[in-house]
Amino acid sequence: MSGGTKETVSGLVLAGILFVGSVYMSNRATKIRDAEDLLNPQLLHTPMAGFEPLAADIQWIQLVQFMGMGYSSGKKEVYVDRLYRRFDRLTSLDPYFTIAYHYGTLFLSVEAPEKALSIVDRGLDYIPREELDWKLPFYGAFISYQYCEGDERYAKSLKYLDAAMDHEGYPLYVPTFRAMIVERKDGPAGALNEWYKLYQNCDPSDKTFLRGNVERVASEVLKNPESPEAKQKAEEVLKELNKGGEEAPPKKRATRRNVSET
Amino acid sequence: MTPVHNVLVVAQGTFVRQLRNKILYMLIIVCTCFVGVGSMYHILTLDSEVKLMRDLALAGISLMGMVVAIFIGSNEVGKELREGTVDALLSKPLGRDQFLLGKFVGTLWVALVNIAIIGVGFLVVMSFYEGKIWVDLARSVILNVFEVGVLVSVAIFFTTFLPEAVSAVVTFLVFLLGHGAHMLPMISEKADHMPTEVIAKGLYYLIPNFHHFNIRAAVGHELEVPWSYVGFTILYGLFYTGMVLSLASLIFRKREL
Repeated sequence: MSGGTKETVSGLVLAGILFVGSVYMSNRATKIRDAEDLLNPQLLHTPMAGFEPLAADIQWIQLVQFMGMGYSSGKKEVYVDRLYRRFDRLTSLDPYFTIAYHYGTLFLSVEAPEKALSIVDRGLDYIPREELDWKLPFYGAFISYQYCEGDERYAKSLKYLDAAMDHEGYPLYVPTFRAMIVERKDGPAGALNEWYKLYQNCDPSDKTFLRGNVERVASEVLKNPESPEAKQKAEEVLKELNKGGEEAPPKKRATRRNVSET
Repeated sequence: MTPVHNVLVVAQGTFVRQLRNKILYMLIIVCTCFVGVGSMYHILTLDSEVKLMRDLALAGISLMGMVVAIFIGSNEVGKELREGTVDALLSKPLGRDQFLLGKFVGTLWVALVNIAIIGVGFLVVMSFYEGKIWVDLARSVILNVFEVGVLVSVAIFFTTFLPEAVSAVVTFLVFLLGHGAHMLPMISEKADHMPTEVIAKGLYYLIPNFHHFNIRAAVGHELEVPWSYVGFTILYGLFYTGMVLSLASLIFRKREL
């Protein structure tokens, strides 16, 4: 083999080894990216050569102006459709844009609740857990409760409320709303435990309000008992309340876990 | 003179020549102005001015690196070949590999200085605005530097057998394709056609996967990017750059000057 051929072969071998190394490293990086949920590339429908976050910001600036214009100048349906498409494009460019999901849901909730719910679903799927809080799923629950019909209304609301209560720091009206929906869905007997657990685990300042609800639900069960067990349970709860529930040491704020235990 | 010394001399020559390039100064001024007026972005956005500042700075740093890599990377070797100055250089005890490597290091050096200027400007603005130094930026900037390294090597590779302008255009196309490379496995999975699957899979590994280096969205949202990811991506960049430079040197060695 001549010197030139040797050099070429060794150069090609070196390039080959480096190529294999690059393939291995690429696969390792991809694995970590997928495992860590680092902006799954499948979400990005609009590739912008790495400038997606900036494109999303520009889209957001335009969207803010568009939202500010309102639909006074044109047809409401066209405005709503355009607004939704803009939110869709924005969240495709940057699926982590939490604030866009919030505003999108709120702006579309009245005129196009089904579109607002699709934004909530997308947000719940794509926003990383550490960025997501109880608000977005709560909006979903509220919109479902207001606008959905039939069995879907309660089922969807409860699904979103469970998602909201999966996050720390939610206010009392979130579990209270859940208890109210359970009451509408399953009747007073079904909701009695829900209300009573809330009462047991709430802050002292909320005791009076929740006690009133427990008493109301328990009396409704006693008025029209669905079963002997339900009647017995209502009597037990009222007995416990009268025994001195007010003086019971305050426990921790209701959390997803202790509510679901009911 | 050792080979390392030869490489550094060529790199220094490249760097010094680029210091006279006024376009770079303009780019630095424009990018720094964008970062500098960051505190005014709240007029335009709704509760997301900090995100806009971060994204703009990271995009500015990336854009700067891309411009330097494509235009200077394509121009440096091509210009020497066109003007014939490479003959004078290679008549000295300087290997062709060392010449290419020197051009690579010099161009990367120019990019590094530019990135550093914008990065420091951004850190100063953010520390005034948020009252803290934004350390997470480091991960994105480090990966950006290695992305620029890959892009410079690709530009140099093309200039060894293509004219400067064509090389710049082709490198830019590779840059665009590389940022979409992560979609190729999806095409491969969805294609029912065997050759399409093979070609998509092959291209996925052949085209530089710039998507690996792009963690700007995650960093912009202050999400933690594991150092292991940064490490593997750096290694990927090093392997890929090495492969492209060794191919470039193979072609350059055979080239008639």
